Amino acid sequence: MSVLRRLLRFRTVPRRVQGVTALVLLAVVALFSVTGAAVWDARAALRAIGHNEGPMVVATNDVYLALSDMDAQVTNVLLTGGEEGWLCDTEQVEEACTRSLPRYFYDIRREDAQRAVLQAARLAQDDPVGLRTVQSVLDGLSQYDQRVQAAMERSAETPHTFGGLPPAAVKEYRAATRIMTEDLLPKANNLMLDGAAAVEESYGDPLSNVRSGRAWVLALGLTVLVTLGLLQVYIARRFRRIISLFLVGAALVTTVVTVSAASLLATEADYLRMAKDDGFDPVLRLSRTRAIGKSLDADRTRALLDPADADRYDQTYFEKSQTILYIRQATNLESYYTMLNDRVGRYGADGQQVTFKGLYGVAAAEAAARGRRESVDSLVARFRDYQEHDRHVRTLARGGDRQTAAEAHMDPRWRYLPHPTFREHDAGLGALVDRRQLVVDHTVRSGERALRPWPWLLPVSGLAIAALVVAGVWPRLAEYR
Amino acid sequence: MRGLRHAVVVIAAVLVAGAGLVAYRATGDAATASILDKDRLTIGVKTDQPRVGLRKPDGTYEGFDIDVATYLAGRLGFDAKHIRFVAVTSDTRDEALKRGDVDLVLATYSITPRRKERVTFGGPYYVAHQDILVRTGDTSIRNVSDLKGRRLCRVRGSESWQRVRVERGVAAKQVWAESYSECVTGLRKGSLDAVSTDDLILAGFSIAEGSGTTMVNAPFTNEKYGVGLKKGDLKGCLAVNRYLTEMYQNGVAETLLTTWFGAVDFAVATTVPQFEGCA
Repeated sequence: MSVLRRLLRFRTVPRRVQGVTALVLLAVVALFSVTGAAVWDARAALRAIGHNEGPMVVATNDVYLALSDMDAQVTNVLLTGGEEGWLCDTEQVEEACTRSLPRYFYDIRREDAQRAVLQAARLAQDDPVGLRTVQSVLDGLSQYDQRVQAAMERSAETPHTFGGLPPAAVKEYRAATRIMTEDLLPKANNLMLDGAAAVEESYGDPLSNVRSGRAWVLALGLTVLVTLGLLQVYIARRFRRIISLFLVGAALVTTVVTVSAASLLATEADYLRMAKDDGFDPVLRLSRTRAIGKSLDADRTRALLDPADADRYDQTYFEKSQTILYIRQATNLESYYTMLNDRVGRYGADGQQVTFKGLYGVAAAEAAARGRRESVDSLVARFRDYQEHDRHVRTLARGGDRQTAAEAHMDPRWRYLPHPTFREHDAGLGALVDRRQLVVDHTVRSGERALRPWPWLLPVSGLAIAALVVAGVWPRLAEYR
Repeated sequence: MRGLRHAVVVIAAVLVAGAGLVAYRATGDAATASILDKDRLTIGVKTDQPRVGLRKPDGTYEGFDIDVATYLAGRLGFDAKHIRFVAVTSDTRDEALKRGDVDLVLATYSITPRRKERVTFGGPYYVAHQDILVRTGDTSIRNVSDLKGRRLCRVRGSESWQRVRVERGVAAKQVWAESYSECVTGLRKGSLDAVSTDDLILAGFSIAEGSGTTMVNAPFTNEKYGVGLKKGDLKGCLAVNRYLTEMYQNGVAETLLTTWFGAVDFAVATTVPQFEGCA
């Protein structure tokens, strides 16, 4: 205790000068460590969205989309016929045949899926649970391939009408679609959710730190200035010097660093918010909508192919529609179609009243708040058109006319393509995803560029301030030696 | 003396830097209350569904839901002494969670858009399918459409009846009951013709000894059994999802499913279901 008391006894002049100087230096240390931490946090958050977890979520979503595309090709070929072109192996020359476009598309998407799975694996390498999921998706893919091959072969053996699949093929198809819908797609979906949560985690805390960091930097900068002022006043009185140029220099550097660090943190917080709210979140939401939209269409095709299970497919169709655009009062698909038409009509009319929720509800509310409605308007309108068309297909199928229903479900001219209403909705989503991804890339790049000089600027300016303070005090202390 | 003084200044500088950083870090957003912060866990389960959630005469619980709940609680860091099961019914689940009477609900709790507005759901941990239970020997009911004009059990708070009457539009006659065990008693006595709800629940009833009932085996819906958490507990929800994924990966899920439902003739899924996402 006595040691402490002796240490804190500032009775002599040099002791007092030393004490205030120590105070100044402590404040400088605090200012620079907090600024450094805030800069570090901003960098971590940008990295999470732009380079680490962000791209991983996009990769897992690509897995989902590629898998959905593969399944859609298989289902469409089985529905419309064309198994010969599918089974055609271009490497076997004894039989002259042409490989069909859906088969090429399937192969391309399969490679895409595999590549995206591998990327997800690389990014999930320190998460054993996630890694096992990735592994089992790869395993499931080859099982799926085998079942699809078998279904195509069974289907090619027996000639059948448009939409009427032989029972042996239905059996194989059910097994394939089961692997897809109950194993592969759920796992891809869960990986995506995991990734989104990881982004939330590694982005949310740093962002709120960066936000509050600004106030901290200003407060600490002010503390440094006040203690510098104290030192200046004390020296001026004690030693009858008006002003120490070194201390003025220290104050100037402190002011410059404080103001520019505070404004940097404000800018970074803005970039981060923009990258997330205007870029990453919409990318995720729209990609998810796109993925659900694809499996929605596949559910209708499945219901047409396999009428015995139509009830169940209708229910999943209804639930997926509700995820995209939720109407609380809709109790079944029929009432949903009607209410959707009505509400989207009302939304288009004045645009202020968003009477639906779900993914499009969030998008519409956000767009209305920002006054940029056009993109969401056209998406919602396209979704309504798609559902309108589906209502027609479903009515035909329920009426027992499966062939007409199957034909109506596909493009009227190129029958291996999905109906134009689906393609328009899907393409609209795809375009918007790309646009939002550009926002992410752009803001992350700008944010990182603004941060670039700080890792060396901070220590250099900190040392400069300390040196100036010491230089201002040293000659005075020397007078007492 | 001089050396000591310098040391004190350095130590003080480090302390100030540390304190500044700690204070700066602590200013982030406060998280909402989560099951992860609890000391003990109260889990709401059903009491009257054989093989799913059943209270035995000695007051202990058994069934698939109970085992999944125990596994999850264990992975969340609660040993058997810190878990308490309490009874909930289809009608009381939402309120019990909201009031905080229970921390988790595993009670054949289907995730629906409407419930998602009030409850945060982890999982689903299983996707069941709605099916129909009839008296053994009754062949007049083969699928959901055959329920038209028949006496069908309706349990308060359960959405199964809606699935038949509203979603499928099948005009069955409703007979009110408080629970599915009451329904099955009614079915056996002949005061109603059919009970329609999830296959896991019906399977449990049908294989109970001397039940005199049979499952039709005509699934017509997907029922996503979720783990109910208090609305907003996203951290808890994410942890639940993580351990559910693990439960399917390490084979525990398959073991539990075959233990409880292996004797029944219906397809049991053994891969992890598609999660709803925590919201």
